[in-house]
Amino acid sequence: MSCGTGTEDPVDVPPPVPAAPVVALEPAADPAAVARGQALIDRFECVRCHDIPGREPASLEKHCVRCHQDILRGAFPAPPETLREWQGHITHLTDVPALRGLERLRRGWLAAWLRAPHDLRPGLNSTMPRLSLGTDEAADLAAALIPEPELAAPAPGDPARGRELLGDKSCTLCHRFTGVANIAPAPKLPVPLDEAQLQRGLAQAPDLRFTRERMRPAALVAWLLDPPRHKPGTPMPTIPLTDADARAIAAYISDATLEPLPTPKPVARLPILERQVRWPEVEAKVFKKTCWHCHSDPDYARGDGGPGNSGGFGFAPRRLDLASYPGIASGSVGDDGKRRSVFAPLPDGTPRIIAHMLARHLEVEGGAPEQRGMPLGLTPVPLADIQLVDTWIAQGRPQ
Amino acid sequence: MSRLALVLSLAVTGAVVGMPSVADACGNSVRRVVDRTQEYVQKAELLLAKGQYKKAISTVRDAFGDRAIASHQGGSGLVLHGRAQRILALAVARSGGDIPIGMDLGGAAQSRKDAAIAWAGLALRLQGGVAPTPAQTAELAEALSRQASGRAEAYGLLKELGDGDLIPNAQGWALLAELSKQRGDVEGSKKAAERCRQIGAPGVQCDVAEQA
Ligand code: HEC
Ligand code: HEC
Ligand code: HEC
Ligand code: HEC
Repeated sequence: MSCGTGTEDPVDVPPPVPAAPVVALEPAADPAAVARGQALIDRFECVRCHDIPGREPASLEKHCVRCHQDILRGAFPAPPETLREWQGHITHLTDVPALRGLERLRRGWLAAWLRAPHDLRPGLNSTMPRLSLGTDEAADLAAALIPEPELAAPAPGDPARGRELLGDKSCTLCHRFTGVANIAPAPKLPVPLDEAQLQRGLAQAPDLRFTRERMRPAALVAWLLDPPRHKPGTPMPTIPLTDADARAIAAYISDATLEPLPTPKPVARLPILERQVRWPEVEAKVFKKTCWHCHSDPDYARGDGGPGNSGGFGFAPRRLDLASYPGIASGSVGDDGKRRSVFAPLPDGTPRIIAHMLARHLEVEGGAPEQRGMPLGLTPVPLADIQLVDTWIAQGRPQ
Repeated sequence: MSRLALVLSLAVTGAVVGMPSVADACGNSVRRVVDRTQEYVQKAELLLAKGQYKKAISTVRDAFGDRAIASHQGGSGLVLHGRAQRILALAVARSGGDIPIGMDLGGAAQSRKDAAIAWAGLALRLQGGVAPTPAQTAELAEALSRQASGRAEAYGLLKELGDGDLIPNAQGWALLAELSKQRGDVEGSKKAAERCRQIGAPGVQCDVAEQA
């Protein structure tokens, strides 16, 4: 995407389009593609994280976001002391955008982004996971989510005035706009918000840098005037703006010159440690912290060992159990259906499981590495903790 | 032998009362909250891991009685029953069949030991099904290696796992070292013993005794 992907990035991204009326508008989606896309929404289990209009949400045992929210609200049936313990641990998948009013987005952008999602909302620590999607499947999903044609954009406004308004109306209290000179928000929001509304707004506000690629120009102006009309329940408040204000802000968001994103930091393995590392240490710091929530033993989890074991989100079962020493030593099922060790070195000498954890850092830096980043769509494991796992493997995985 | 036949037929027909199911969330997190049988099984698993076979067996028996020996008869609690049965089978294999587990299986008499070990191998084989995990395969090999007639198969199973670096624990490597040595594969035996030592599991004897 626009964030400095490496040359190996296989995804074609349309270049950013200026908000000028000469651009061809996206027509209504092909009904056959819409139908195929609807079936893919089921196959990839999008409702395990997102609300989608007209679709049943996933059941509580399958819903990665609702269950966490229930626990954080204290509404999950468990003893209070257990709830408190869990509440202290859960930081991921506590909020995701509902997939509503998506006709504000460009279908072409969505198809490309679904194949190589990058972070849009700096306030959320989970990102859209990189699923196993082909180009056609991504296009069909985008058609199903955005069947509507694009509307013609109104006349552009004054970008300099737009920049002023972003500060004056406190927009930048919630929004980052990376790539332009810092815009200080006015200290007081023009509309009253309670603490919960503000927190949700801060968590879900997208970085405005990507808006010019993401949003249809007409929809951008319309959105600014009345967000809930376009997406009921959105955490973006309605801030009173005139039509000219909205067009001015849209012009600045779409046309301001952007500094290039910082060059991706290289992601390097740290050297093997001298001291001994045993299983309890890597278990506590890495595997039982994050990984086992998707990679557990189905026998301990009502038959579903999570997407990384029993399959899910469109992935075939890898049968990788990271919840115990014998589990991790039992490896995973490769594409040929055979068990393989997750410690076996890849051609460049990196043990497979290390490569997947480093790949997550690369994804966050904007790359689309060959190995899928782990933990899938979540905060990367700190390099110092990957080093522990690397050391443990080099030492013969002492128990 | 007739005793064994009785047990095997029970494995097919024995009725087992349904166990309350294990509530769970997101992998293993919620499991500890829910059900008492669950607690017994978990305790027994820890005892097994510590090598306290007698206590592990009595803990399983406290919760299940003879039901853990027969096969599960539909309904809920399938997984918990499977875990309980696995504990008994491994405790039998690792203790050499000395400890009675019920239904006249296990004890001082050689015939009881043999019957218990034969049962353990059968139970573990059934649990692994058509696509056993490496952990299940290695545990089956442990039980098989306790019978003279099972050694060759045990060696074959472990050798294949070992070649892919998929032996899930130190016991498995120690056993491969022993079985390799018995077959005269000194190099293979050394390598397996070395992997066993690297894992450094407490209480596991990695050095193969100096006898044929
Ligand atoms: C494991 C949870 C998870 C699953 C499963 C998932 N998503 Fe997402 N998705 C997210 C998160 C988290 C975000 C927010 C990312 C961000 O803003 O950076 C997101 C964002 C999105 C967005 C952007 C919405 C917006 O308003 O910006 C779209 C579109 C989307 N997902 C579509 C899908 C589709 C289609 C599927 C199924 C093929 C799917 N997602 C499955 C977690 C998930
Ligand atoms: C039935 C409720 C439930 C469901 C469904 C659920 N979780 Fe969790 N999740 C929990 C609980 C409880 C914890 C805290 C566990 C602990 O503290 O031991 C947790 C913790 C986590 C953690 C570690 C804490 C953190 O925030 O990093 C991750 C990661 C996680 N869950 C991911 C998922 C994913 C991915 C899914 C969907 C595939 C999912 N969960 C579905 C209940 C649930
Ligand atoms: C309380 C925090 C908050 C404030 C203040 C706020 N926004 Fe937002 N804004 C959000 C959230 C949250 C979203 C995402 C809504 C969703 O996906 O449901 C959003 C979405 C947007 C989008 C769509 C961006 C995209 O890429 O999808 C634009 C543009 C936008 N806001 C502009 C503004 C402007 C201009 C102002 C000031 C007039 C403003 N916002 C004030 C929280 C806020
Ligand atoms: C949100 C769920 C989720 C979390 C959390 C997660 N994984 Fe995964 N993992 C998956 C899925 C799904 C796959 C299968 C991907 C595929 O088939 O391409 C997978 C695959 C893998 C694989 C590749 C197996 C193979 O043979 O291809 C490794 C290694 C792995 N995960 C390690 C980890 C580690 C280590 C962690 C914790 C740092 C982790 N995972 C956390 C869902 C997750």
